[in-house]
Amino acid sequence: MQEIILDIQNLHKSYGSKMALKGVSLQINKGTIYGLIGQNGAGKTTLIRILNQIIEADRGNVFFNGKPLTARDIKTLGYLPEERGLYKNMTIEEQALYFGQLKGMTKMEAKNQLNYWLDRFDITTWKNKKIQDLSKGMAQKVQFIITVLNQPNLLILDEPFSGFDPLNAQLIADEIKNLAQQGTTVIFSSHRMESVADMCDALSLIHNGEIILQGSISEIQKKYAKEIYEIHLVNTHKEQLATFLNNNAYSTLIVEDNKQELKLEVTKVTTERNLLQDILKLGELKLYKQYIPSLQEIFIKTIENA
Amino acid sequence: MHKLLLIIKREFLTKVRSKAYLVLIFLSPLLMLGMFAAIFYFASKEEKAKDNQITLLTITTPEINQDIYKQHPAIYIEKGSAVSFKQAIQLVDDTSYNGLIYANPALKIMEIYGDKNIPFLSLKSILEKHKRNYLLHQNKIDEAVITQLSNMTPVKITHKKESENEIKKWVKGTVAVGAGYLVMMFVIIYGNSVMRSIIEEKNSRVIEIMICTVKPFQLLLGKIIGNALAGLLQFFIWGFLLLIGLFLIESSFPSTGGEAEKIAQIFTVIWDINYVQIGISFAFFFLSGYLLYSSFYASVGAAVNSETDTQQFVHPILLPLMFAVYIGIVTVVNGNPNGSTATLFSFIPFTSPIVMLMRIPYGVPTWQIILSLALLLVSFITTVYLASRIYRIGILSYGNKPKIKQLIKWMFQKQ
Repeated sequence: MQEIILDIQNLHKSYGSKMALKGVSLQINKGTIYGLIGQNGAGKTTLIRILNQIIEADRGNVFFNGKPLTARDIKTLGYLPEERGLYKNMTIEEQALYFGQLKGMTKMEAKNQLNYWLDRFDITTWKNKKIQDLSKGMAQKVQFIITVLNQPNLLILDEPFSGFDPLNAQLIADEIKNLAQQGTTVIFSSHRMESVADMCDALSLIHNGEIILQGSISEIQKKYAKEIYEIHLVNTHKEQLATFLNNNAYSTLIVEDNKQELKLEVTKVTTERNLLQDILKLGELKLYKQYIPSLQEIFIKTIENA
Repeated sequence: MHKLLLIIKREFLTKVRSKAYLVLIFLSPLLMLGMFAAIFYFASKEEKAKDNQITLLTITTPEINQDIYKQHPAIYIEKGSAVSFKQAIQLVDDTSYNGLIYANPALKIMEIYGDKNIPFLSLKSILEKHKRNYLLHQNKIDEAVITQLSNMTPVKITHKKESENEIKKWVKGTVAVGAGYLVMMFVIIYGNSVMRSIIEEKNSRVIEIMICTVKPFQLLLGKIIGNALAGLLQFFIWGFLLLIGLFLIESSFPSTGGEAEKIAQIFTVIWDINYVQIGISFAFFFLSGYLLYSSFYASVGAAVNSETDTQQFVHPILLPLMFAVYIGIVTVVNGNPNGSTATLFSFIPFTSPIVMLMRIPYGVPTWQIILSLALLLVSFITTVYLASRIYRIGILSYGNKPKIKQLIKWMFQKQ
């Protein structure tokens, strides 16, 4: 049984008449990377801001390491907001010392951690540069360093790859995975589904302030994978096919029908064995594959059905 | 507390390290001195240049012409031919002459005509002297007596010394107006600075990281205090520079001659002023006035997205400040510093930082100063509290520029 680091129970939040969160509950295991997925305006940022105690929830509870989340826990959190920003006229070192000390580190600790990360990213020469002299990508890297400077137990990353080129995005992704391996729990918020599939162990899909899909990536994919089969046939027997298409035991969709090949998508209703037997009567089987939809497709479908 | 100190330190250092601050501290006194020097230079040059521009048409005796030339060598004299007085006036009006001397003692004609630039009094006394001499000669008065009369030392006029009280009043007035203006200027400069700093944090989005680490109220307070310290530092540097400047001016004036005595008197009064008291009063009233106004500036900064949006909100802040200086000049400096109007406005928190400070050089009962400060303190706690309510919502709100009504709503909204 994995240890739960963050337990969110029934959070509600509204801005005036607009309900931003309608009873959100989720649990995050220690040392995992947890995805928070949703369209823009779904409620992700509101949830993150509540966790960071920037705003207060109207109702509901947040337990951190089994105890209600308080202002004292802030120093064990790291937060990389979607809208990045640092003080433009301060050097990287001044900035790191400032934010490090605000998070309760001593000057020395902040300095050591900064040196460690600058060294790790091979950018030690940047130390005395001002943010205004850095490119956007460089500034993003510095922002990441400042976020992890206090060695947080819980790292909250809102769209961490935005603004990075593919090479640096990979570099940051590797660092995030590395931190998770060392025991840091990561909340990874994004509207880009493909990056989540690659990074996360589990996720919640938020839509209109509600969680409409939740679980580990493998569980979710398994759940959706069970229902759909991709079948490619050649030399099909027309009558059998007509009978098959009319068979209420299956819901069948012709994806492509050219003279050489027929591509079907069958949603299984009976057992897999029956399906296979029936399919074999239709013609020469070229491909029989349980269709595993991408997370992106699952999300879009779930949101459409919500 | 530790976090607040960190914020104050950052705000203070950011401010005092900026080029604008250094320019403000060291360059603006120089610019101001330069400006005054330029004004004095051009004014005195103008004064000297005045005679040069005068052209006189003279229809008179050679002796009188000679005398005018002797006393006003810079005046250009054009001797006219004998025409009637009327014709001569016509000539002056039609041409570029400044004036006309139409005089002949023998014919009992003594006329001066001209615009305001000609030295009437001096010309009048020249003509009178010639008329007197003519009469004396006519009446066969002994030449020795005439010479004696001509060379007689003129009546010595000594202006009554400006009484010490008047000088004191003048110096105090200058100190009062200076202090009032300074408070207004500092409140505007440092209030704006707080506002800009908030807009910058909001625009660069660093605010989101900041407020997950510190409370919005802490951040706001740190910002306000940090800027106030930079303001005080500037004031004390300026005060120090001013005292050095005064000392240098005093030592560069000659100790004897025309105005020396008056200047010495002025400096006696200047050095008599209790600068420690003024410094402390300034610090208190600047701080409390600044704290009051900076919370308005902070609310504006939190509410808008860019500096260009601030105009409509900043104007209402400036009005009471300017009004206070005006009231101060009218009632305190030129009126009765302890009259009811001056006293009333030195208690109203929006005008008191300026009006009370202007009254202090004239002597104000301590209880009034304490009451005024206490009222200010209560007001600023209220405004900082309300500002922080606007601030905590405003800093996370982007998009449309809010209206005043919305700001009031934010004050009571739960976060």
